[in-house]
Amino acid sequence: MRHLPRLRGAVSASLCCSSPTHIRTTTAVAAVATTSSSSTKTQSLQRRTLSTSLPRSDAVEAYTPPQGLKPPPQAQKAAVRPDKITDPAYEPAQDGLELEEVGGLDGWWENPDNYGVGRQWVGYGPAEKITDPAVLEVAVYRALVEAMVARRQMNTPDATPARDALLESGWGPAALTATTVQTKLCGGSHGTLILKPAEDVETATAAEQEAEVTEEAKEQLEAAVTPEQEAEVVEAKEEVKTAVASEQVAEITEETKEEADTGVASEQETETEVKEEVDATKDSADHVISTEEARALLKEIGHEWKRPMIKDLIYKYFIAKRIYKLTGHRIPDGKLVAINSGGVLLKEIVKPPKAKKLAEEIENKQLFQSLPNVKVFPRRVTPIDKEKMMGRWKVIREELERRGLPVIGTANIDNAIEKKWVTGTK
Amino acid sequence: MAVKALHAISQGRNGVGAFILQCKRIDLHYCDWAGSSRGMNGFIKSLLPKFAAAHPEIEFTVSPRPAKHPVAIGHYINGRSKPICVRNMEPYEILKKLELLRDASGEKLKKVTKPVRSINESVRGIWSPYHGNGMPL
Repeated sequence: MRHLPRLRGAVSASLCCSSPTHIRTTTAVAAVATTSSSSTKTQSLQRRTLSTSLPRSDAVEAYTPPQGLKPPPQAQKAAVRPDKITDPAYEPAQDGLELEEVGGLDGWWENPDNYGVGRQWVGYGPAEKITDPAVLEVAVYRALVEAMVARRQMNTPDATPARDALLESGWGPAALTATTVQTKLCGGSHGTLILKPAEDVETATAAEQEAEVTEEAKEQLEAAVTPEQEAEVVEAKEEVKTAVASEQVAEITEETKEEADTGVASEQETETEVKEEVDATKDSADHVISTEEARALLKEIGHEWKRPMIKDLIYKYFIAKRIYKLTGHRIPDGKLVAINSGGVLLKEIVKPPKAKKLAEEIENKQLFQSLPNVKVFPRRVTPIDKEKMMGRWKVIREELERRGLPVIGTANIDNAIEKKWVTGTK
Repeated sequence: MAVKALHAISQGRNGVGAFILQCKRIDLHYCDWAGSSRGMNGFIKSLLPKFAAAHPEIEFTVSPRPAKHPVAIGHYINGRSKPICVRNMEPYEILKKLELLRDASGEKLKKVTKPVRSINESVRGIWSPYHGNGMPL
């Protein structure tokens, strides 16, 4: 039998990279090591990358971990060798159960203390959808006005920060909603929705009037969108950073582990407290109007805005964004394209709650209202119900009671004993 | 005076002169939860209003029957009833079943072996070898 010669050292040169010096070892590369026994620097470069393109070093180097996020501990930690231990009280363990578990990642990811305050996810819209029809109508009207102002200012570079702040802002104080509602919408010359021009200006053209109204609305909204509360929130966030930094410095100077642990705990407490303060400030800044307030505002709003056309897609997008921010209702793209007026938009958002049962749905829609030959029962029709319909149940009840028999159910009477005899079961 | 028997002039036949639909009531049962009732629930919402309006002589009752398959039961004037399970059926399939219930007579299904069935007496009478002139061979 012929013996094939073994391959020595690394695999054939065709598997290796032809110019290994071109590969930078500083970058993180998914590599497969060759079977080389020596660990010289030259051979460590002889790696075969799984990817055909060279990795981007700038992408890896540019990454900086976010603040407040602690990296997980290393999974493995080398223990001190027994012969290196100088402690005379040391006794080697005889059993694995006696060993203390050091390190590890058990429960690390679940511990919320390992994540910073700033890393916690905050949704774009409110956590719960608004379902009150009156509040929703006011929100839709407000979204229409604000989105129109944002749309008008879209091509003005100076207004970009104010426009973004407007689209990103929440409800704000109650006065802001009332101010926005005072801006009227109506149908323009082509039947499209526009901001209602001032009636006292007769000489100005329609376009100029619109521009004036837009400018006024923009000023009002800019003033209201950046209220004092938001400044307070920023200040509070700065305080968090300052407090955390100062505590870290204090911990380093103490240099004892126990005290450091206490410091970490106090730091976390401080973070939590300030976070609560920030949340409280935010809540007070965003005032979702009540049903009574909304009804009062709806009298001012009227119905003139529901009929005019909405055609501009960018305007629609801004409307959808505002509505999602204010109410939590997300309009699908397909429906957004089909929406062509304020009334249709309102109908899409304000919907009665879905009926849980078919009988309720039939009653709500009144499907068989005009049909005398159809009878709908909301629950199961039992044999007793059938007897009642026939008018026989009263007689049956009297006869059962007279005989001392149970009217409903079997009372303490078991099944027929003969059944056991026949089937043989016990 | 001798008593004379009344001659049967005519016999009541449904459809000759007047037609009375044999189906008098259709019960529809559904379940709010179960997936096998999805078609039935859709039928009740979408197709039943029109079907019931087209058949005012039939009484329809709609009632839930939780944790059971949907069923349509036809009740007939001869006292019989015909239940059809309509589980996992689409609304238009259920419509076909209701049309079947509407058109049924309520009688038990019988095997039909002859192409023509009639209750009329034959005008030629029944043949008898003892009557008539006979045929000389």
